[in-house]
Amino acid sequence: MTPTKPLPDLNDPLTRPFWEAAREGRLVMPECTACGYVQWPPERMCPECQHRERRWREVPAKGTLWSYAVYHRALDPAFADDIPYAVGLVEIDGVGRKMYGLMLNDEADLKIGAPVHGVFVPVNDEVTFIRWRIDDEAQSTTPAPSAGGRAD
Amino acid sequence: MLTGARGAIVGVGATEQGEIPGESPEEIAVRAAVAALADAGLDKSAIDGLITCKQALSTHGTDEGIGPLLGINPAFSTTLDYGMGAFSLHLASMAIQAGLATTVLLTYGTNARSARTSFARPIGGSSDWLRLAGLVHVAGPAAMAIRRHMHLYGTTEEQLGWVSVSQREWAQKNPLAVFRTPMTIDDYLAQPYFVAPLRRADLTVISDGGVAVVVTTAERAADLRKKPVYIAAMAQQSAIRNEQNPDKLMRPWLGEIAKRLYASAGIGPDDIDIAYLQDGTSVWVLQMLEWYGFCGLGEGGPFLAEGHTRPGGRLPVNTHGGQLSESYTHNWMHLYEAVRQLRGECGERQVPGAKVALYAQTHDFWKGAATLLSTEVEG
Repeated sequence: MTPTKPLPDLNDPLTRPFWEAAREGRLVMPECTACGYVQWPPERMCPECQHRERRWREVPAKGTLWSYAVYHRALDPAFADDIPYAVGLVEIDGVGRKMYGLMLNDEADLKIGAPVHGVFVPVNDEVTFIRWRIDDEAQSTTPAPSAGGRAD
Repeated sequence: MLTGARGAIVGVGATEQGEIPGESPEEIAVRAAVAALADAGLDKSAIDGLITCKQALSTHGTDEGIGPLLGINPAFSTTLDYGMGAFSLHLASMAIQAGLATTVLLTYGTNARSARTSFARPIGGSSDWLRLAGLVHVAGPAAMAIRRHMHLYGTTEEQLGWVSVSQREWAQKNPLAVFRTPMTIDDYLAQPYFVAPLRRADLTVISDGGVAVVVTTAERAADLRKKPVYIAAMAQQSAIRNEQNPDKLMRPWLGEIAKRLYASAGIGPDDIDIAYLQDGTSVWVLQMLEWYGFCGLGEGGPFLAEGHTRPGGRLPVNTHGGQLSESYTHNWMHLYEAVRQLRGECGERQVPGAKVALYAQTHDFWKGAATLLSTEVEG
């Protein structure tokens, strides 16, 4: 039996607002109330000025695919049923911070630099994950290149 | 100008590499230490400094665990985390230059293979976020880094494959190496993906083994039995802001290490005869070839495909097979090999006339250390 996928700790005050917003279909990131630095992932202090208060700023669940990795082995057995699965690193529009997340596209459609949008996927009553999908108009229509020696 | 003021390596020792069932990391480390002392022609009573490293992802390997087996009470004794050979070497030089010790033994042992250590965990900061995304194992972020490199510079999987193929060619000449089966570039490309675009051959061996090194002053080194290998220059750079760095995966801070290393030594990449680049993944080798200036940024792929790092090439890299083919000792066996190459002891794989070696390590996305080693110094 495949083990259960990891879930976030919803009681952690550091990240609880993020998960609450995700459940409502919004992407938020902590912004330092002293210097305005937008921090991702959240830490307990601003790395710029060491201030500890933050406001949760809504940012667009849109970005650019900066890079990706495609898992062909279930290195975490909880993801065995998803093999092969792609993890993307998405640069969020406007703030320039990067987030990791599962990609909803097939490997052949993934392209660095492509515009992507967040898809809010509830996994239970409390937790909604943000997955990412290449914008429809940016989907590749060309066949997948062969494995050896490709340049993409 | 290369000087001997930072100390000299006067002895190296290693155990067998591969599977050593039933031995603790401490026992393995001490067996390596005994071999290094014998190589140096020193009794353990000559050791007044000890540096050990914890085995990766374990609590084993502290100096306090090794002391009762080695049976010494050195004046200076300490432990670094996470098995970092290059950082340990710098610490030894610092201890000697600071007057805390005159002769330092560095030793490391691991039973990662026999203990079935799992490396399928998040690598980098913010491990919770990585785990939620399914981004476990160093192969994930390394795959992202090389995929980005491919996008920016047109690097191909075949070009990257030459890291592993070249090191396997070297490993075939090394009796200690775990993986010695011939592997052509076609064999490499025929391997299934592990985390695409990486294959199994792009990732470190997991093995048991021990390595030890003895460092002392240049003055003392002159009286010992083996040809001294001098610590000619050292540099480090951290990136411990980690995820809060915008370009974490590409590790541009490696260039800062290179700049300071070359400035300190007064030499450049063209003066280096052999290079030991820690290869937890093949991607790290490609990155270091570029940032240490052996080729331009983005030119690592063609540089590798031209064969410069292979036996007979102009920049032999990881001539023992490295972590991709020889063994997994967190860069320690790279140091063992570099010293033995510079002393001319490597038999079939000896690089003729090798006088200057680069020994460079990174601890993934956190920090890096590099040393220039040479048998010839002035003053």
